Amino acid sequence: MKIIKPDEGEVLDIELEEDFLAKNRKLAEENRSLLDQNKVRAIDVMGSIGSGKTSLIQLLTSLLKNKFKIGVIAGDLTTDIDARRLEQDKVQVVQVNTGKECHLDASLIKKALRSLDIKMIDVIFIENVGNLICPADFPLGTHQRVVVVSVTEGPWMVVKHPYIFAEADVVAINKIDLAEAMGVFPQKLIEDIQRINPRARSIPVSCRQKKGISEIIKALGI
Amino acid sequence: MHDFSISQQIAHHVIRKVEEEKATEVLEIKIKIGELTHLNPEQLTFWLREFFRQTPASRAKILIEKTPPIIQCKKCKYEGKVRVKKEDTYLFYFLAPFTCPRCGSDEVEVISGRECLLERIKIKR
Repeated sequence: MKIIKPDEGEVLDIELEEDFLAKNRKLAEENRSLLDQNKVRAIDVMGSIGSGKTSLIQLLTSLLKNKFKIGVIAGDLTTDIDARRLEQDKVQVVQVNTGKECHLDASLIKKALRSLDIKMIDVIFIENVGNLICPADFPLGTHQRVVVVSVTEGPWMVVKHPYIFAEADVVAINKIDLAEAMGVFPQKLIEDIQRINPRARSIPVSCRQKKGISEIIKALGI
Repeated sequence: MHDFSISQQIAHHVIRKVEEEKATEVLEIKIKIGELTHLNPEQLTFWLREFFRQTPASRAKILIEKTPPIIQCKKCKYEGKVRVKKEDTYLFYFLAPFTCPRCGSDEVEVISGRECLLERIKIKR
């Protein structure tokens, strides 16, 4: 049999069309249908380091845990500090450590969902890694996205990170009890969010004083 | 920031292809990055060069093209690029894809501009 072989030194142009970000989006869609099949509502909570993501989730779960079965996925680089903070009665918590990664991705969430008893959960809060940039490129399959921004991050936080706010459904403006001391006007942040994303609901909160938490629940429609 | 992990995935994919095709050298790698991603061509190239060290791709030409956002309006069916006015700031460039430039509706779908596409490679056997 005659076998046709390429000549040595032959140049081949190979079409690959491999989209590396689309892979994540596809996995996110799979996560979403798994959540929908089990009638679980998932909420991605994003925000910079120290903005108050864990505190907000803590307060939300305390208020909601008697009405709903709650699950929390806490994302962090290495520690389980947040998962320990979030452990409460009637709340299932799983810690995801990303190692060196600056964001959670859909495949990590897929794994985390497997380790939760999702048949026994109505609402899942997913705490993303503290970062206002990278998580925007990696949807997880959640139904809603919350961004927590605090007045201690200064007056330019929103305009400097427009993309993450463009993706948000609800924005919690945290630490308003410190707004005066910081010389930051929460109303200015609300206007900035409005310009970037007219659909987002902005809510001033103070996790320390437990203010504005039920408004967040209302805005999420839980 | 995540340029590192994305480059690693791209590099693995290229090297796997090189092995499959029994190539001796990779001459060219073409990548398309959507302008709506947070990926940066310079950083991507830097990491790819690192991952390709001492591989058949170490001398490959890395071509990265940025692709503009394309949106589709659910209301008026507009499909196309986002029109950016001269007076618009950097902020509005990011904002623009989320409203339709023709009818102003915010019910738009981004159909292109979020990709990180390894389009093609040129290899030598």
